[in-house]
Amino acid sequence: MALVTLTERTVAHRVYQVAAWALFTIVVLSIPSYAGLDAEIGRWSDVICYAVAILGLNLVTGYSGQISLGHSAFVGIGAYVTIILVGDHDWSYFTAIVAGAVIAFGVGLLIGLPALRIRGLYLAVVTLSVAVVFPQLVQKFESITGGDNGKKAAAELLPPSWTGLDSRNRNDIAAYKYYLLIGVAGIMFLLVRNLIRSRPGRAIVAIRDNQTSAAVSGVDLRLYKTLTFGVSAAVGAIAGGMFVMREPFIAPSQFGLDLAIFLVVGLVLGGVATLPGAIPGAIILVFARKLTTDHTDIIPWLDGRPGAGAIADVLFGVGLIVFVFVLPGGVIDGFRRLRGLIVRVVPNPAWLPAAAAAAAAASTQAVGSVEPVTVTSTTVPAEGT
Amino acid sequence: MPTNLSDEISTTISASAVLKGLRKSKYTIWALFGVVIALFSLYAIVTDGFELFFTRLYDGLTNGFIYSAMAIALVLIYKATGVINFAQGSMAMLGTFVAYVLIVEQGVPTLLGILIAMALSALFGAGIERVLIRPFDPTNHLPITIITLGLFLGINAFAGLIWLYDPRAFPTPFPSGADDYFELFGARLRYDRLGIWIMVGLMFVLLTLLLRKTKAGLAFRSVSSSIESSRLVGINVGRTLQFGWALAAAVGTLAGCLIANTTLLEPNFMNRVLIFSFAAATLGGLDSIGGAVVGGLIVALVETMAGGYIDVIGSELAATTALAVIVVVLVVRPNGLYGSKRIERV
Amino acid sequence: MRRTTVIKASGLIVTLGIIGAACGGSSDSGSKATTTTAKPAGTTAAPGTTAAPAAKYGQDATNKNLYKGPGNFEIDLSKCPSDYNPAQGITATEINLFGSLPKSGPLAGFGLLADGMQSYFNYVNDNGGVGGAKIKFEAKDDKYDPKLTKTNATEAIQAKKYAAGVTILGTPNNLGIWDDMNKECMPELLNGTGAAQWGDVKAHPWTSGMQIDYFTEASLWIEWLKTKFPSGAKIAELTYNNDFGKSYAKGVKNAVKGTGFTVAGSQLHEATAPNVTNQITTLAATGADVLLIETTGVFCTQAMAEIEKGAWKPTVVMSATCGSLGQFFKPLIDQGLTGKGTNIIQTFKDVNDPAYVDDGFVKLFKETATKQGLDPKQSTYATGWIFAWYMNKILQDAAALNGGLNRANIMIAARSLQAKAGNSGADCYLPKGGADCAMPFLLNGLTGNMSGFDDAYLTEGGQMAEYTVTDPKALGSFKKVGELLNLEGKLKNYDTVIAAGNG
Repeated sequence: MALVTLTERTVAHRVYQVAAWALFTIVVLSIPSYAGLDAEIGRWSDVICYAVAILGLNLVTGYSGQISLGHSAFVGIGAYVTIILVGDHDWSYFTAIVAGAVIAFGVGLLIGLPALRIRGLYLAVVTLSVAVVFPQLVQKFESITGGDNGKKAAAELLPPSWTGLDSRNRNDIAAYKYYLLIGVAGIMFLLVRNLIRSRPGRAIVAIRDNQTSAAVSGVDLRLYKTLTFGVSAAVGAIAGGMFVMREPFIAPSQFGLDLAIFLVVGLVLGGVATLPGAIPGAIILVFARKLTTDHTDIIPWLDGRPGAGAIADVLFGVGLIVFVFVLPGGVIDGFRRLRGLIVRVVPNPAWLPAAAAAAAAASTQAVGSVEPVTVTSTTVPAEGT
Repeated sequence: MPTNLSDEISTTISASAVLKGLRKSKYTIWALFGVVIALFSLYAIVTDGFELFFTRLYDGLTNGFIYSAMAIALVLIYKATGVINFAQGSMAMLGTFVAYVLIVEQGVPTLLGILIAMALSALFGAGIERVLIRPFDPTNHLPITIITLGLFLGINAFAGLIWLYDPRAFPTPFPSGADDYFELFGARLRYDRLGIWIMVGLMFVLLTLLLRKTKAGLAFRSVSSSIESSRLVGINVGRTLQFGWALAAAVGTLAGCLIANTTLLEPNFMNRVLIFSFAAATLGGLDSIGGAVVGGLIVALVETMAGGYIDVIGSELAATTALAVIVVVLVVRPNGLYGSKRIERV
Repeated sequence: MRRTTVIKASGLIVTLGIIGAACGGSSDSGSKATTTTAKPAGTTAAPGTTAAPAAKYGQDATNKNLYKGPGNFEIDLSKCPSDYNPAQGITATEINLFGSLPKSGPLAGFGLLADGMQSYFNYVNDNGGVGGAKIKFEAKDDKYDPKLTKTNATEAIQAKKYAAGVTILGTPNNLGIWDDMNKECMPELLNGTGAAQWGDVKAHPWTSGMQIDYFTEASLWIEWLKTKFPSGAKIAELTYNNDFGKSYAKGVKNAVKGTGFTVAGSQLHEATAPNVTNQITTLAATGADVLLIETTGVFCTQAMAEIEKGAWKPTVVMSATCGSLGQFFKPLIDQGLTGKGTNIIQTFKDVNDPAYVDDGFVKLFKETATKQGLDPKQSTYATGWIFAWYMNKILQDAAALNGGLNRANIMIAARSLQAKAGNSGADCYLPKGGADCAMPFLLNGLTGNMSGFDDAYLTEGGQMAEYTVTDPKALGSFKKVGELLNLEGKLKNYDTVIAAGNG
């Protein structure tokens, strides 16, 4: 049983919520001062960018239930549109990122069209083709994209004087970018949260859970499925633009199939169909890979053996498998279970009419009994903290 | 580049609309395909002659059977567990390295070495199913997919640690010297290529017999169509799924041994084939072994013929075209050419 | 599958074969080399000569921030960050260097390069180091991801403990960091890629390459083909669809201008291609006289096999990155093929070539590697030795310049490398060897000179050699079939490449 039981909408519950949010905010904002060096702050900036990319993927895979192995392409479109507009046409970063999102939205709609008919793993293979083709297209249009050697934009985001940051100090620049990215990511998380809680959001989830019954209940499948792809692509493109903000140099190899796969890995590790899952998912992607790379010497007989660096991938692979065994529902699921041991929030009977409370209880039960216990159904989308 | 991509997709869509209208009559559509292929062949032969056409045909068929071989293994896993096994290529690569060690380093006769490696792979596959796959709810695909991704990364790196990255030639039981060929329709058909065709064909026939005529095969087919009803009629579901994984691993290793002769053996060699095999399996219908063979041949022939004869496509967009064809086919037939339709209930 | 995409990046396979790029039978003295005898720079001596050479270059006597090198090359430390420390990473006991290359991921094979370098540095350290200081080399893993390379470089810059970065692998990887490295005045030496950009002395004085660039190599091909086909011929190209392959194609396009040569067919292949059969079939249909194999790794072996099995028998010229006998020709033997008749531009000697068993440096490499527990047949280790040898030479040379060993002088030394080739005894290559020793592994008659703005590329020459086989069951060897071609100094620096419209 939980150590503390809080009743919903009481002062204690409010305090708890505010304290949790305050703690989270303080941790997020103080990262640059703890991380210290530019490279370390940069790593956390990467985490933010990946988190937004995973957020976009989550819309289509987590909430809408369509496995996409092609999200790297949307991130890539966002990144390339941003860097081309900023680097070659002197746009500002923010307008360029929005332009990237709009273009990716269009492309996402187009890719969403086949998704009307193709489902499940068949769709996964179609999106996988998109991931394979994207870097080849970047190569093909070398004159605009810079091809294999990558593309660089001269304009870098520098802290304006009112921030009190030194625009010549690398650490200050990195911190400034970090805060900018936090701002963009915050907006994206809010937008997606509101979308999920809105009527279209519920329609999307209904389609995932049962397409036919959703259609029977009057949900326009065509509209919502393609829209989900479009919106999800746009969010991915924002992440791409954020990568450019973080570092105005990109190469096609960054947006290939490995990114697509790592995004899916991050999604599952963080927690499918749960908004905050994107954050631990991204942290694992960035830091687990570094951890395995830095600790290639943990196996004694390999120490000093030529080519021993490859052990990093072995460790990462084994780590993935172990992780799925320990936390099949992802980090957020584990976190919630852990939190459940300490704090339990119960509905406040005084605030709920008895009848409604009874109905709510009944419907929860019904959902629980009909659906098999899966990652996608154990986590209720609306409870994004 | 985004616009180009969209163009491609939109042509896909409009083409699908056209095909959709024709779909009602099964024969019309096959006849249409036949006419298109015949016209294309005629055009190809008239412009560049017999020899080049048949050389390309043999090239395409060889790659097609290569893709098919691996696609069959993917289909077996899909039938067993309902996922795409990303580690299939890595497992096959490992098996091929085992065969290499046996044959080249230990001097075991080629065919015997391949058989031993297949047996070991089957054990390995069965072990993976028991230890890593069975603990999970089979309807929950994402964790299982992550497991296969973990295996994919781990096995590839493991092989790199042991064998490093230099390419090696894998022995073939067929004559493979410079002069081991005969001419058919003016083009060279090599014995080692013909060997691949025959071996993959044989593999298909044997697997079909195995699944249709043996008890284990029937149980496997039953489980892959419905776990619940199989359980009710007394089939040991766990054991049967394990059988599927073992079979897929063995088939994968055989595929690897056949492929390694033309692509050369190194820790990444199967990954270059895997994408095309995914495409082939999907095109054929993920749960149809015959579909995997047909799918592999179509993917490779489109790649070879379209890349060879249509200048706009050329070598640069050949693979892209092959992938685009898959999208078109899937829009018309969402379960692939031979895949069974899954009926959903509310 | 993740691998397949990343492999595509492998344009750089480059370094792998570099050593292999050589071999060849005789060290005939008849080979003509148009050696540019540049000014006798600070040091013509081999590493760590006891007698310090006339230290003409280095720190300026009056302006302590100014360092001068040959070819109008200057380093002005006042343009560096205010807290710049020229002696960073260099103490009496240690010289700290960092590198970045893929040690895991699909291109992990390149990680062996770092192991080869470590092997030579260990050898140097066991034999006195650089004036007593031991070379400490930390190779970081970047999985060939330019983003990770950038992170590695940024961390290294901020750690404030490294003197220089060396052997950072990959063109996009180096392009991603070179602005930062130059802004921070961190030497970026011996880049593991053959892009022509590394000769951009003006804008990037702190960056310097090492390998012969692919553009130049393609020019050497055409030079040689002109002697074989005086009236011109039809050329077919098999090109890796990335910057590496396209650099060759650009070089060819530039070199055939105004000659009788025409490009009859050009086929690209992706890194994700299982094989190159379709491409070869299409090229065969052109009936061209010459096939240029502008790719690398396993694709070279596949292409040679296809040609040998097919009816089309063109003159085959192949990228020097595929010159390693043990890596790329040996698999053919096991398939009942040979690869004979393939032509390659050689710059370095192949440690696996029987012709060089008595070569001093080859011997030393084999003995030392075996002693250290490395497989001496693995030519990537030998390639690592070349990189490490140059690095050691740069450090030894820098120590002899005005102002002594510091980061500015490391850059001056890198821009004034002087080396001719010739055979020498193993004792030459002790870090404190004799003064007249020649550059190791470099093909006899070639030079490896640098001279500031006048010559920003190390080796720009080579000799065409044909792979010949006597026993089809054993490895053959390369036989020289052309004159030694040396374009040393011709390319000058990156401005020349830009002016040619091929930047």
